Amino acid sequence: MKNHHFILFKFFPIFFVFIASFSFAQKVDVNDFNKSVNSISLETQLQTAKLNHINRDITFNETLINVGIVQSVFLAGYIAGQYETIKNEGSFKNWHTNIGKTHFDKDSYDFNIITHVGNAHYAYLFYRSRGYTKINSFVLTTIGSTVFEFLIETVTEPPSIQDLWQTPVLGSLLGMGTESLSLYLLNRNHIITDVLGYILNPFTILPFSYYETYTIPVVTSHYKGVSMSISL
Amino acid sequence: MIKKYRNSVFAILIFVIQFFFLLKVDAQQLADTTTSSIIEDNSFIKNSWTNGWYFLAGIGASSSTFIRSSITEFSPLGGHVSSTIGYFSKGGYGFEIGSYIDVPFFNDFLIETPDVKRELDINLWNTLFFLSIRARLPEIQPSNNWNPFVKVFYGFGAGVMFFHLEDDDPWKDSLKDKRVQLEGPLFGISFSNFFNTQSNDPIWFLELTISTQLYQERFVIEEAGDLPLVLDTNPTDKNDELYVVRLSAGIRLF
Repeated sequence: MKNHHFILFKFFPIFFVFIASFSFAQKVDVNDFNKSVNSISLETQLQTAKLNHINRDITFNETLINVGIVQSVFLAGYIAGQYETIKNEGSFKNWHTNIGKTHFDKDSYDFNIITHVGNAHYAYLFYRSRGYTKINSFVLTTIGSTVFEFLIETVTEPPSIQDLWQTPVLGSLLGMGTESLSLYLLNRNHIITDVLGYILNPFTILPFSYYETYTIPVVTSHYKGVSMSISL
Repeated sequence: MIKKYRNSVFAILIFVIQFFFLLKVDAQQLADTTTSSIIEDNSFIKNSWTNGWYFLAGIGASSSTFIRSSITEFSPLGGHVSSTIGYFSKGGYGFEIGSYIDVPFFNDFLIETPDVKRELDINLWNTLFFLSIRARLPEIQPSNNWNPFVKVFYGFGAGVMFFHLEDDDPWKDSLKDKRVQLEGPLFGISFSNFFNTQSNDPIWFLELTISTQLYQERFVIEEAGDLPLVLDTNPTDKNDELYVVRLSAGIRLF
């Protein structure tokens, strides 16, 4: 039984590659698939004028500034939150030698899941408020988290595999959910839902955010026209 | 040699994938800005199937069996969360990196030390990371609600055991703030079906996954300040295995 399992684990990568190459050999009617994708109508366009997120073109320099803001906040939080640990166990030698010691960390879930994911979700929401698309906000959150793991936190501990994945991925996932719920609440136009919406996504209330009302064309199978919204 | 650098290689792989992801996103952003409105759909769940990058998130129930030598511990019902980033191409294949976080609960889990044998209630927090390939089942024409896929995956994971002890338990003091972490490779297979791929409704999926993990290393950890303290490290006797069956429901976020 034991030997069988070891053989299985040892040869599974080969099996994995075999399955992969087999997959390439499959026949799939790509034309049918593409037809189905192209047939999607314009009904996916927004149908009402509400508070919404606006994507925009952002220069590389502005992105550097935005990433710098987020990293500075996390660096400050790291120093403030782990001041004693940095003082007692941190060192310049750690900072560069820990980079190559990536490992499965031994932290508990309160750190790995709650604290890290919570922090990353604010980073995601910040990038969204600056007008980045969902994918770009996720990418910037991922880059920021990776930089933090490899170039900041190594002062006290080696980079963590769990953090490299969970912090940006689950953080962005939570951010996407929070943003959607926040916009839903803010568009109910009631003082209680407004307050809840701003609490869930505080960046929506900031003057520099790209959550705005707007005027858009409406195209559905039942109606064509213009929807207007005035923001006071 | 390979084992020594395994984790670093895995980390570099994650970084390389992220790098290619970034390149792809730049190209996509360029395309977006030249062809369509800058006002985006607010919907949380993606509602049109496209090739390219995708983000799947799922949640569900799982059943776990921990086998150690001739002893079998069974957790009939636990929960899990899944997250997957992949690139879907040619309408049929997805190349992915992903994670499962399982939280099974074991009643009366047998604990053995050189001196004592006894049973304890245990929460296992198991975090798995994997590389996977997802492919459409052959010879099946996709339709709006019939898009069956098979996924095979291989990876590495860590399971953390938390002990539940009564206040008057004699082990209460000695196990206070302690936990055991088990690490090892895993592999598995999933069967899934995606719904609403050809309509404007949110895309979601159901997935049945079977995986097995071989625990090779054991760490005894004590919570001590900001950084956990590893009290003891030793290899397992290579007989600790975890088998998990998961049923997940999930959504495509982008």
